[in-house]
Amino acid sequence: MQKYEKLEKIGEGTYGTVFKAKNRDTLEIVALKRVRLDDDDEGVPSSALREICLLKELKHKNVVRLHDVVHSERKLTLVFEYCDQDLKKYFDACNGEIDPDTVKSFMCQLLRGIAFCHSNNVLHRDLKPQNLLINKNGELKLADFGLARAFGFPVRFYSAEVVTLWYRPPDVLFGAKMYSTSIDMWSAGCIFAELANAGRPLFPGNDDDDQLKRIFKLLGTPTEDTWPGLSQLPNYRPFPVYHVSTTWQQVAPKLNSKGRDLLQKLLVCYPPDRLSAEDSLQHAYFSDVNPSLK
Amino acid sequence: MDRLSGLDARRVMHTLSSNLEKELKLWKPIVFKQSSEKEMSGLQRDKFAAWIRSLAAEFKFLPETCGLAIRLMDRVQQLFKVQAKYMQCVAVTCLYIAAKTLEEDENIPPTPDLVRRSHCGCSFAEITRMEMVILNKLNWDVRQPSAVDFLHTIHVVLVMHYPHLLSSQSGMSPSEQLSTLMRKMLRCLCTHTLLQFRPSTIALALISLELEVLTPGWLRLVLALQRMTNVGSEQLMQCRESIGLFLGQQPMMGYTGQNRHSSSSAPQSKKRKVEHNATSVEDENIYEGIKRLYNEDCFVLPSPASSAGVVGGAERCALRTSCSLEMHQDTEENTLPAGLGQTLLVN
Repeated sequence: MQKYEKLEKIGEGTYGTVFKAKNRDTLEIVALKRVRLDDDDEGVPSSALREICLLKELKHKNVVRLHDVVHSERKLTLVFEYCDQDLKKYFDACNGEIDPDTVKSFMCQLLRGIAFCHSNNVLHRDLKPQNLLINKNGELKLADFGLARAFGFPVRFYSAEVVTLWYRPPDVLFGAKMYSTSIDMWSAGCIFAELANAGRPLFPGNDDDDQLKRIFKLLGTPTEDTWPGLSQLPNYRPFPVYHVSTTWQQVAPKLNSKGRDLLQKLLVCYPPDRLSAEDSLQHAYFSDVNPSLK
Repeated sequence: MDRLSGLDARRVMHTLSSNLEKELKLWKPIVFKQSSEKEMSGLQRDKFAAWIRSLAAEFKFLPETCGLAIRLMDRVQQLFKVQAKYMQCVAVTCLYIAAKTLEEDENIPPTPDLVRRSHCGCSFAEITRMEMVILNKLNWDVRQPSAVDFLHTIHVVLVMHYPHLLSSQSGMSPSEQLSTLMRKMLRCLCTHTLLQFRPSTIALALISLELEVLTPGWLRLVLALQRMTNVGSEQLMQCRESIGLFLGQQPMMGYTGQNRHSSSSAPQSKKRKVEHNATSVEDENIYEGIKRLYNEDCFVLPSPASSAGVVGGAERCALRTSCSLEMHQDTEENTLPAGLGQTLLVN
């Protein structure tokens, strides 16, 4: 690890400490994610192994770049491109105000990153503001692929223990194990609302039940008619039929009508009806996106 | 397109081509010529591959995990000469790496479990050290397409284009069909005689042997698939011959001790029949994995314990009806872009 000069600790990742560092030869600033390996442990953590294998193949400007993997005595260091902050910290620093163009730009970049992953058969499965990095040029990048996985044809049963609660779709909250790209699209919807409201989370639930209640209070409680197969889901339980009283205007007051339309199309309980990343990018909301971003 | 089932023609073709690209980059033929006693012979390699296969079944891993593990083991041997005495450790480590890469965390056994249940004879410190050696040698390029992956993709291409061909002619649901093919494939992974062929060639050759039995128009179909996969005719024919020879010789190469069913005097030439009778516990596990593929999970299958071989006629029949029904729905929802379907038909 002589190649890098450690500068400061940035934070704790899912499986290790993250440092800011400088490449001694190129003077390039990088982020080092350090994974400890103990002989009496499981070897390379599966989340680190998956992150490395997947990121080696995912090269896109909206996906954090993995430069190198360095193995030294009892530790593994992942060398990433450096980003100044994550979206969570950006929210904390924005004083409750994000201008509409920035919201649109971030959302567009988020969807591009997701569309790229999906077209390469990768599900992220943990999209949330903390896992979206932002550099000083305002570029947004998907990071932390520790829960990500490749998916094949047709879909298999996957783990239902995925996605941080606030960004977890209702199907997964009901224990669905057969999901596909729509899992990430729900999270994208939640993040979109949070962006539009300058960092106020849309569904800050306390537990699974509270989370589902918050969702159904906004979108209406799904039924077998609106969601075929709903009652067959592993952890399905009936919920009261809520009278929907909140309008989309109230949900995201600063978002224009096109943006609200896109938000509605992402936050759909029945997974097959959720808009895909690729289709979202074709939405009218993005018709005036600065071409330099494209 | 049905986003839930993921059956999307464009995406399938994209997967196929990106896997072919990776294969082109990473795959090299392996020929065994034993130069010293310390080195592994082809037969020894087959023994370890069969061991990986049986362990994968024991841990209920997906067929693709087994395919990747054997692929990694072969790749490791190309990258550095492994002495025979370390092979057991290499084999079990490759399986562990494949499982961590492809299985969900809840399906991955803790290292002590892996050590104990595999009877691999190495400590987990040895396994974790070997893991680092292998990952570094592979330059962390772990996601390598195996013949199992190609079998999945090519089979999906066929199911999408000819849903009726596969199910009506053989009287099997797509998942039963695939699991039959998968059983044969997992056996094929355990012979070094096929290591001179690309994984994509092996998958296509195996499928072409099946199509030959199913339809008189098989050659046309195979030609179309060849065009999609860039598999040359000469390679394909040679590989078909090798597979035919291998499967014909060893219709019952189940793992010793696991094959509870004693095969009747079924003539070896009727391969399919032998296959059906020889359903072992291990094979049932493979089936378990595959039926999920085509969303047939909601149908109760006979448990391995109750079916040491022949599945009850009624149950099988019920299963088949429901599954083909489901496939009909599937195909209606997934109408292909006309162009793609037609290319296949015209060719």
